Amino acid sequence: MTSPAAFGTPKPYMTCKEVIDFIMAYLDGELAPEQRHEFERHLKVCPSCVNYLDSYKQTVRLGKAAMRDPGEPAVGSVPEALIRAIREARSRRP
Amino acid sequence: MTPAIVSKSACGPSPEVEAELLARLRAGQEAAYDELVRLSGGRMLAVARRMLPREADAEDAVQEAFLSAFKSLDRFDGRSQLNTWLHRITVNVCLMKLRSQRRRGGPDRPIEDFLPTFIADGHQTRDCISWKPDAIAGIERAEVRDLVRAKVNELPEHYRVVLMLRDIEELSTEETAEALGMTINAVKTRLHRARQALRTLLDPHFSSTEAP
Repeated sequence: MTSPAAFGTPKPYMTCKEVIDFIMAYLDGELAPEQRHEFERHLKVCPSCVNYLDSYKQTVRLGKAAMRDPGEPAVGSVPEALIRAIREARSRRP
Repeated sequence: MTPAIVSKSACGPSPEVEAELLARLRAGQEAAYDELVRLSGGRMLAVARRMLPREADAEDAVQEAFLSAFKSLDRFDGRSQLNTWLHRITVNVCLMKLRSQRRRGGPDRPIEDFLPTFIADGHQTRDCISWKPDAIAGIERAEVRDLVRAKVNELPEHYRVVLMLRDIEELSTEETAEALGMTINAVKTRLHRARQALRTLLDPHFSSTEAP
């Protein structure tokens, strides 16, 4: 009996769960070539996973941008009270 | 506490200025200590504020970090920048504070509450809707930054810490694993889940079907 593969049965797609589990490895370039190919083959037929991947990337960018406030303290912006406290604490601890 | 690996998030004075300051610190010159605090304290305070929600805790952490650094100046080997070394000490002090606070705090919500769900064949239970194309542009607005920060702070603590160290403080996976006493694979898994959870928390605010 001939196996179905001999008739060119299409290879099953990765599932959405597998794709979502692999997103970070995909973005970090850590997937093997065959896995990467399968990952991208799934994206071609699954708009939901495309949306998930895009929103995942935006989440990372939003997190970085929000937590690294452009108005964060720069050089010379240490409260004087803190500078005094550090000086006093140091003098107490030889 | 001496980091051997250079973190990307620290920058600072030129090597010449740093070497001269370091020499004066090691010679025990009083003015050099204040100079270091003024030079690097702002960056260290910013790190502590990101990791510890209360201002008093952040200032305590910076004070402890400086005292720890002063004590171990002789062990600073110069392989990294002084600011990188201070950054790492600050992160470690913040982690210690978070550990002691966690012991006093209540339990977090399980991470599974924030992760996508799937049906038996591996498809998502609910289709993912695209986000507004200009979601990232909104970060210029203070209310959007406040919203994202609030959502980061809603993450279960074990996950928030990994996200902070990897994505915000830009420690490497190896440095994060070392700081938290975890394996590299565990850090990777936790970071991926933290990002997924943050995505879930932000989704109602950035999904293209929702009002801006």
